Amino acid sequence: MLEKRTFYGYISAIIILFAIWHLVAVILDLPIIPQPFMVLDNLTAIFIDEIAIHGLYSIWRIIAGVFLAIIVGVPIGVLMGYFDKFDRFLAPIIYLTYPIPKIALLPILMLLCGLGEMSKIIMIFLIIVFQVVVSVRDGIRSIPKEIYYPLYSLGANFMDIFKEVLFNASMPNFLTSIRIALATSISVLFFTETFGSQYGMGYFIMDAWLRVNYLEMYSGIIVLSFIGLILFVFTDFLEKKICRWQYK
Amino acid sequence: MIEIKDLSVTYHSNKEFYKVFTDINLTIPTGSTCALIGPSGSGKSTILKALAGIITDFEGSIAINDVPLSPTMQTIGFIPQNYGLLPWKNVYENICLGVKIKNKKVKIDKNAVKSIMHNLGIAGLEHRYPNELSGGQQQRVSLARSFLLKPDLLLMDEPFSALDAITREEIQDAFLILWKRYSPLTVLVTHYVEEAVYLGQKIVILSTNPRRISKVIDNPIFGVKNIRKQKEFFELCSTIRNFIKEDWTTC
Ligand SMILES: Nc1ncnc2c1ncn2[C@@H]1O[C@H](COP(=O)(O)OP(=O)(O)O)[C@@H](O)[C@H]1O
Ligand SMILES: [Mg+2]
Repeated sequence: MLEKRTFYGYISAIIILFAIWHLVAVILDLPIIPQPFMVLDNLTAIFIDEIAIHGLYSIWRIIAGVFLAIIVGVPIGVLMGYFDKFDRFLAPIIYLTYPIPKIALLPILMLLCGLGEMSKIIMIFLIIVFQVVVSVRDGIRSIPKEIYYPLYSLGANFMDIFKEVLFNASMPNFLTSIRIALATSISVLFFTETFGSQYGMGYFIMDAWLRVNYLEMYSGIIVLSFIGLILFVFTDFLEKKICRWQYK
Repeated sequence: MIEIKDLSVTYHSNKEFYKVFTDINLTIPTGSTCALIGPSGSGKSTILKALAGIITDFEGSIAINDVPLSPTMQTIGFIPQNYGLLPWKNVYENICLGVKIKNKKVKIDKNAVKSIMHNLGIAGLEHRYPNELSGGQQQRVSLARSFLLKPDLLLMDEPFSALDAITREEIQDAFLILWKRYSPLTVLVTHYVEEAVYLGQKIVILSTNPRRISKVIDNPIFGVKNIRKQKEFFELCSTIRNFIKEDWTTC
């Protein structure tokens, strides 16, 4: 999945980050900044029994939210990009709602959908779906008209055009938007998981903090970061695979 | 046979109407080629787009063997100026794309693809992407796609103009060899007199101001072997060039 060189790049980056952390911890010598080795000890001790379940909940929420955003956002983006009529109608709506800080809607969402899974997943969905719509639309709009001509002259229908052109042409933009949106959605997820839930990395980290168990809190932060990293690397991998034609 | 009767195309952009030309009339027999030659802006691409079914709201009529032109009823191969390859498909997929869209149920004949690729000198490039190919190779892929279709009508918009002189002649030859085998009715647009004389059985000269067909020449030396090096070829080229010189400047 990773090339050897990138792999070594990641390893050395991790070592450097831990070295800085260690230095800061030694110099400041505060309980709120424990040394990395102690955290790693703690992490290996409690990962399977205590953290894994929270990690799985967080991953599930992110994936469900992203999945929903794709299911809804891609068709809308495709229609807006390809048919001017859709764009004229929907663009104002999208542009007016895009800048609303979705996180501010969380209280409303929690009242409407309860404190459970639904409100968390919909929150992630709301944050990602706009970026998906706009990026897919822009990707399709940047296709030169001439690309379609040979297909039109073959009597291609909309499904053909979608399969052969629109899907592929919007992929690079789409994956970039997912990658950017993932970073936001992890922060948001953390926030939503501090409400009304017994599971999720957000809950685990805040709970450890309230119990003044800093080692566990840091273990949780490392795991949450790692989840983000995995999702990032996976998006990269998809991009290299699906959009291979771009890099040639 | 393709029959173009009283063709007029009007573009409308930003509420402005812009009539490109009026009443183009032209008949081209089955199994022949026709070269449209004209200065830039004379409407060559517009005629071709109408023939390709890309521009549909034209006035007048276009019929192939007495059936009104329709991209779904007839098989039309269209090669745009930039070859029209999809950058995300490799050479093999690009070649098969035409057949795939036209006959969704028909399985692609791998041997036919192979032999066409071989004839066009692009065997072995199956897995490359278009941006890993030279312009000449891209054009050959585009030709392979169109010939695999066995089209009722093959349309090419300045197909060889972006290529260097030597590559252009090589591909013109490759085209002609393939064309002689399948003989699809072909309309090609060019602004090179030599190309029109070499590839056009019928040569149609367009002019601007007003945009119209100013002359149709039946080319007696089309398809003659090694014609490019012979006296008749130069003579016809210079006749046409002299005609064009007057035609394109006096108006
Ligand atoms: N989409 C369009 N909208 C408006 N005018 C156009 C459009 N396409 C071409 N034209 C105009 O039509 C005329 C003929 O263009 P074209 O057919 O491309 O000529 P050629 O291919 O011979 O250079 C030109 O004056 C051009 O500006
Ligand atoms: Mg043109």
